[in-house]
Amino acid sequence: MLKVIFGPDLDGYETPFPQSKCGEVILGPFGLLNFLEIRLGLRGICEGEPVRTTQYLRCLRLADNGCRFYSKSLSVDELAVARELLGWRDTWIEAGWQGTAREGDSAKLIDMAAVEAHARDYLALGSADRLRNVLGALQDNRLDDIVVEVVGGREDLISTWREIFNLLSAFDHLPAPFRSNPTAIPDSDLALLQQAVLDHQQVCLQGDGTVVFLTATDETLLARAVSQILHGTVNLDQSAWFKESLTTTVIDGGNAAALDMIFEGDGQPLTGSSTPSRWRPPLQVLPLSLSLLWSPLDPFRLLEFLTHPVGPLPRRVRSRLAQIVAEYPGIGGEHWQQAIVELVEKDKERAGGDNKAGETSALRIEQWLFAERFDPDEGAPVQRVAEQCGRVCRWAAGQAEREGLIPSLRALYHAASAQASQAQRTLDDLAKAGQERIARLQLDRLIDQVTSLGSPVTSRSAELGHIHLSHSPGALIESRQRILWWNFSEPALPCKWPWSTAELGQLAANGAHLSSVDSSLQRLADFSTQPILAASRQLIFALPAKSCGEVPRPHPLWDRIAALTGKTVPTVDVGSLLKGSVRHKGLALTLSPMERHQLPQPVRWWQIRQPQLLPRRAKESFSSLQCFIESPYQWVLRYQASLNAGSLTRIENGNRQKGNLFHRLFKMFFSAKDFDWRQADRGSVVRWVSIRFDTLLAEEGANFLLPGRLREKQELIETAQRSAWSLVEFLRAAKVRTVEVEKPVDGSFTGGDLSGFIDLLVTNEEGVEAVVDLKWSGAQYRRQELRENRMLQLAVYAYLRKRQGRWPAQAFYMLSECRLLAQDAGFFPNAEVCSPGDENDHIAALWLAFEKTWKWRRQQFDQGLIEVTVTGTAADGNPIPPEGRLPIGEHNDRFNEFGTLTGWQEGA
Amino acid sequence: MKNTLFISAGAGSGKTHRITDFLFEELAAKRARPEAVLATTFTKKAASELVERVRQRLALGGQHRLASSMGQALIGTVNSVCGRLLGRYAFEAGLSPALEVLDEDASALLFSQALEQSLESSDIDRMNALARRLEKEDWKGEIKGIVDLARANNIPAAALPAQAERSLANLMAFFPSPSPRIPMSKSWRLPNRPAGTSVATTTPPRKQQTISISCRLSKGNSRKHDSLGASGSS
Repeated sequence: MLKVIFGPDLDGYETPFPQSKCGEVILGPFGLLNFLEIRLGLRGICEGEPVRTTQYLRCLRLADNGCRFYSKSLSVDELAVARELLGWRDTWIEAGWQGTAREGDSAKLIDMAAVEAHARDYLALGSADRLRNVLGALQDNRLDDIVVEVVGGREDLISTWREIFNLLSAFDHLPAPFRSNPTAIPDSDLALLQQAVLDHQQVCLQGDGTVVFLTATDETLLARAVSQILHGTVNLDQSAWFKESLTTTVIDGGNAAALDMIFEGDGQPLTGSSTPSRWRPPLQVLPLSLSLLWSPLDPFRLLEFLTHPVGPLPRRVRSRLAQIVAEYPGIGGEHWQQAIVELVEKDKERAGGDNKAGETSALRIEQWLFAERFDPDEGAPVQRVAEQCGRVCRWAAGQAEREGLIPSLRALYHAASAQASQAQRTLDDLAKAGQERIARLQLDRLIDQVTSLGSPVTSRSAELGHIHLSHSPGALIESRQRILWWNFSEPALPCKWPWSTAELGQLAANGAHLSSVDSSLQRLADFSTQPILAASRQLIFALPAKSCGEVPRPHPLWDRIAALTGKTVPTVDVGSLLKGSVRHKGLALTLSPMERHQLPQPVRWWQIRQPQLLPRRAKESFSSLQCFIESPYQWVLRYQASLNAGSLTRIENGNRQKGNLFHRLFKMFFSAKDFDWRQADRGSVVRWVSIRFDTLLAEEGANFLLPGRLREKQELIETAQRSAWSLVEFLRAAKVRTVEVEKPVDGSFTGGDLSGFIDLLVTNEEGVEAVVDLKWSGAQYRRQELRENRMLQLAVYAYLRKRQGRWPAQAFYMLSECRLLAQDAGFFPNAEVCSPGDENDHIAALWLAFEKTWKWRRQQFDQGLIEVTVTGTAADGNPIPPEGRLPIGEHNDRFNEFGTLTGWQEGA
Repeated sequence: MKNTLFISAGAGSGKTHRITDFLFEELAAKRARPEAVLATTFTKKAASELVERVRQRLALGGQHRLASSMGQALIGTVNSVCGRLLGRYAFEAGLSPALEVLDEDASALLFSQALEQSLESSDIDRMNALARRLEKEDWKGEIKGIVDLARANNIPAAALPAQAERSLANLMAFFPSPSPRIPMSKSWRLPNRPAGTSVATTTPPRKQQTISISCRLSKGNSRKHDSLGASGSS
């Protein structure tokens, strides 16, 4: 004879007591269903919910005559409707519904019955159907060798279970032994509370530490305190002189994984808790890869796909392409093509020159990134999407077989493969049902359902000697010395059924006897008192003041306890214990606050002992020289220490990107073989820009093509048209004959070699050159630079084009404002003139000042001195700056990427 | 509405306490059922407080069963209550049963998409040109502001064109009669008038006209002065 102890909360139950349980098994509804199926020979193939949902969708469609209660909603969001109504249907079946409706019943019931007629042919069995099948089989097969003990009684169980128990040899186990005879130390707070719960009488607690409400500002601090309490010793018995270690059960009210994190740090055995999450890296590859199926391509998703910790393309490929996407958001442009050629070549090299390796690499990139894209509303072909799921499935399965993989990651790859396989199977079903395309919203719904269960981290398995964990208060069927209710917050409460009282009556007439919400609430209330009665020495409720940024609502039991005890349960705030203002004898807490340390503050000068570590660079550029002069600390960190900010964190999505796009546009504009800007009229310039800009956006500015950004896109195109035509007008007025874009230049200066790229090097009909630097915006700042004769960038480029002592002209062209700024109108007659106030201020004087300043800085470096021109420090004028040097701001840390190295303000 | 109880009092004067008492009395006397209570608050915290206080009062009064049923009451922020109601009656309303409350970013994005679908490309170009003249960086935000106000005040979409006409007529009444169209190639502006001047126009120069309007806006107890400079032809 086998004894089965059954309870609605007992699925996954583990007894805390190691004694032999031979001939006895503890099961919840899923466990008992599986057990009975096996005993009755009913176990068949079980389909996942996503597949059943699409199967039910087919039934809904077949029954839909346009007038069903769900017809309108079905036309809006069919998979969400199918999922919702399948939930209704399963609930009804589980409660005994025969799939029927009577004349005069509500439209919902009649329509659901019409759908059910098709479900018999197309819908795979769910757990409700399996339960009904077990009931059917038990009518003919009595299992006389099983006796079932129903914890809490069968009265509030759904009717199908009640019927099953009627056919088995079952008896109600009501109440649990500790409910009628709690074993707390007499007269302790715990004993008083137990009595109050049983007798519904008010009591006043004394604060002896046997009942405590523990709180802290956040979950981590609370977990730290809980870990100490659980692994420490206490003296709760007034008559005993020794401290004791209590056997404990922790009730997991949510996120017990937070406890394991602390246990791990404290060197204590883990409970094996891990919250399932859909955000584990291998599980995200499926939704990410499917998001690339849609047109226009979303560069943000593409970057996510490429920078994701795992992916179907080799890491070196993803990393290189991600750099391109971050800087030029789009796909297929010049930079892309060049990167792919390089990557393929490298793969070929790695394979010893094997062409096939290169081809395979190119094909793989093609398959994952350059496949056809589809309109999200019209949808993608179902078969095409299923193929993509299959591809992800095969990739994940392949990864799971890799040698040397850590077991937890292997398990996650298996989970990812299973999810992708389920998605593929579901889509195949849709295709079989005749559906040709699937819109983005519906695919998102489907993937959401497939991935909704997520996966735990399987490496966190329970370790020997761990604290006993119970997943719900209802699963406490054995008495324990101490019970700690972790995360004592309000659980998901039973909701009102979404059907009217009349409909519930009609359902009952058709066999579905749904339990009332009141009885479910009552059962919940009864079960929630189990921990109070099951504890024999101490009961602790733990709830943080804030969880995930929100104030959690306490469990409804707390109101009941407060009412019974007149709010006399001692509340212990771990924060107060840390401040030393409170001590609590019932808790083994020895927490001490961490000492506060001030982070290093900024200092104006860094002195290094070996100046030879700051040598001259082989070649400088304008950017490096600007750092050298204005922010020496940046020059050292960036160019000597080679520290650079990562480029993959975000997509260029502001003025810098617009500037890049316009640079590329003008490069194409002035080098176009089929277009002569010198002859073109306004209309043809505008047309040329419109046509080229669309392609350019797809390749390098795809973020402007996303839905909802049409205003920005059109504004950008319009600005490009105006900007191009305006520039042409300035150039024509200056009788410019040739324009070279991004002209490489190099030369030498007092500090060594110097090189750079001039945005536009233009030459007029007299052969005179001008250097033009393109800026997106900021005319006011540039005007000031020109008036104060400190336009160093123009000076550097002009210096590199200086011929026979003659300086070329210089100007800034403000792209978005269509303004050309220059110190005089000598070269560009239509330029906005920003002349320096002093007639001695000219480019030669600026260059002289630059060279003096450079030497001054160089001397500092030669002495190992580095000036840190950041906010929070003050210039001290030492070393004494030379006469006639460049004006340098006291602080130059507006674009400081090294804030964590240059020091922290007080209180940081 | 019948049986209306209107409670108006300052902050901290005990409105929640009064509502708690009222709900407790109605529930304890069985004149109301928890599942038949609907209450909206401005914040999640206020909703949570209200539920807890009522539950505590019921528990203190020994009404444990009622206290545990308070979870069925429809108490929450306007967003949450409306979301739950729409979810409950999704099929009757012909909506998806999987409704989600959008965050601000998603809402702004969807608004932009909806706006794009309702405008021709040429309309967008015209609005961009106008926004440039008025130095407005994001005219979508201006339109969203109007739409949000219309929704918040329950103004039907059909009534908006007439309101826009009236608003325009009121504004234009401050301006002199239109002069022949003036080219816009070079725009410039006069300095803004001193704040607080209700309306000021300047005599237009021969070829170009600049108008500076200062508006006095009041909001609550504070007064804000906002000046809006418009340059261009009338």
